[in-house]
Amino acid sequence: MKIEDTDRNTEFIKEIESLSGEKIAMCYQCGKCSAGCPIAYEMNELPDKIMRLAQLGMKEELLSSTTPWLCASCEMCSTRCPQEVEIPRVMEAIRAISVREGRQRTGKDVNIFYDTFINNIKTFGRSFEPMMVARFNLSSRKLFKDMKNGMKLFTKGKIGLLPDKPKGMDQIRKIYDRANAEEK
Amino acid sequence: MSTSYAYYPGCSLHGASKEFDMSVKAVFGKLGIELDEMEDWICCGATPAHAVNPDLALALSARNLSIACSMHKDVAVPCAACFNRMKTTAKHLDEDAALRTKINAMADADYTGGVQVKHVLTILKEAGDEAISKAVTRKLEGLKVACYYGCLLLRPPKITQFDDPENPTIMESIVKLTGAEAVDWNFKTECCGATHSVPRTDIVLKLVNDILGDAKSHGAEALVVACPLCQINLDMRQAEVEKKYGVSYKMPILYFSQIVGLAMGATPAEVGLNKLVTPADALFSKVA
Ligand code: SF4
Ligand code: SF4
Repeated sequence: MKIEDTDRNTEFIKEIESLSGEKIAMCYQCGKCSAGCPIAYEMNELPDKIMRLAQLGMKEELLSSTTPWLCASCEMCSTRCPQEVEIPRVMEAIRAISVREGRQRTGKDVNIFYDTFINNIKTFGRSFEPMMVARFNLSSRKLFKDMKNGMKLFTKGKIGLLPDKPKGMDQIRKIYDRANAEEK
Repeated sequence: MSTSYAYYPGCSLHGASKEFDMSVKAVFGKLGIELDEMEDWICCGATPAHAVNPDLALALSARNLSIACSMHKDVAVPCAACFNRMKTTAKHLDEDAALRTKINAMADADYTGGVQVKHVLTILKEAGDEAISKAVTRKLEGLKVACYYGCLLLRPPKITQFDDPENPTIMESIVKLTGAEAVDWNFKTECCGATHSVPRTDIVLKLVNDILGDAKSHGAEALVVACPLCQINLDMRQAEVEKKYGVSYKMPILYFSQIVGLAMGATPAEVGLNKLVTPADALFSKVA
């Protein structure tokens, strides 16, 4: 593919940089991030390519890539990157832009999981696993996923039927509302 | 050295990882280190809060830090994910007064800075080899284990300041004091894919198979871990992995505190050995 300099979406580059706090040009394409990435085998674009696409401001390619949604934020890449680029922050920034533009199809399930987890702690103050998995399954339409594993934990006395709530739930909900208001 | 800590168990230790809580308390009890559980601690938000709204993640941990502050104690955290979040928050808020003011207001908190967030392994190590050896009453000789660290304790190293991120040895050095052997192997710092456990189980199964396969080929009979997310992944998913890849591991996934507790004379029930999905009883009947 031939890329003209005028194709660079510089607005998009600036957006990634401000959301991630990373300087995209720092990457000198050594490939060390991709060499150690445990999820690389499942990615259509490897982490170093995501960095390159970001340098070129190729928005469409980045927003349609599944890679940012597959990144497990394990920080192996950033620990090894000779340029100290926080690649998982770049992945997060791309995810945030996709969500904002209604493009999160590529990582739908991961996204539903995050939302479910956060609503769960907003409701209970602490994470209550059975409810969280049940809600995830409902929203992602995988009704009986992990039922067997849930039963295993239940019979071991590892999960209860009732959540364990701290005091001051009103205040906890306030934290969520304020943080969300800041976001907007 | 402080011998009393503000204890933050976190949600996993009150839920699916009770045995981590029980065994940490057993070990610290034997060493005379007090764990004073914070009142009304709240969930730290783990990876999802951070991924979706970084300010929310800071605010949740700031609230917990503020509780520790009012107790005038440093924090002891067993869960690797909570440790990572809380230490990240403490570092950001300690270094940036304006951010601290903003987050305190958001969280109705009063974190004034300077609280140290420590993982329980670090506290154990600081107690000293001598104190640990003295408390060991039953040598676990003949037991071969692989120590697995995963991501959240080690990375990013600038924040966690936990151990050498490429070749950590803190768990091995503690395990050796119990008389057990810690094998050399390749996957101790690899990711187990925990965040993908619910939405993308297929990825987890592959990563877990790689980890267990390498441990087994290096002669390990069990894995020793310090993270509830890793433990649940490696333990609960093991049967699925065995089925999918046509292999057999039957590899118990123990918390380091369970093996140290047993060596210090705690009973299997006291360290919650029966709560593991992959049974570990046979392992210890051999050394008992
Ligand atoms: S390791 Fe760092 S410098 Fe090298 S390709 Fe990856 S992001 Fe770029
Ligand atoms: S943080 Fe993401 S991109 Fe980096 S090594 Fe881990 S999974 Fe791969």
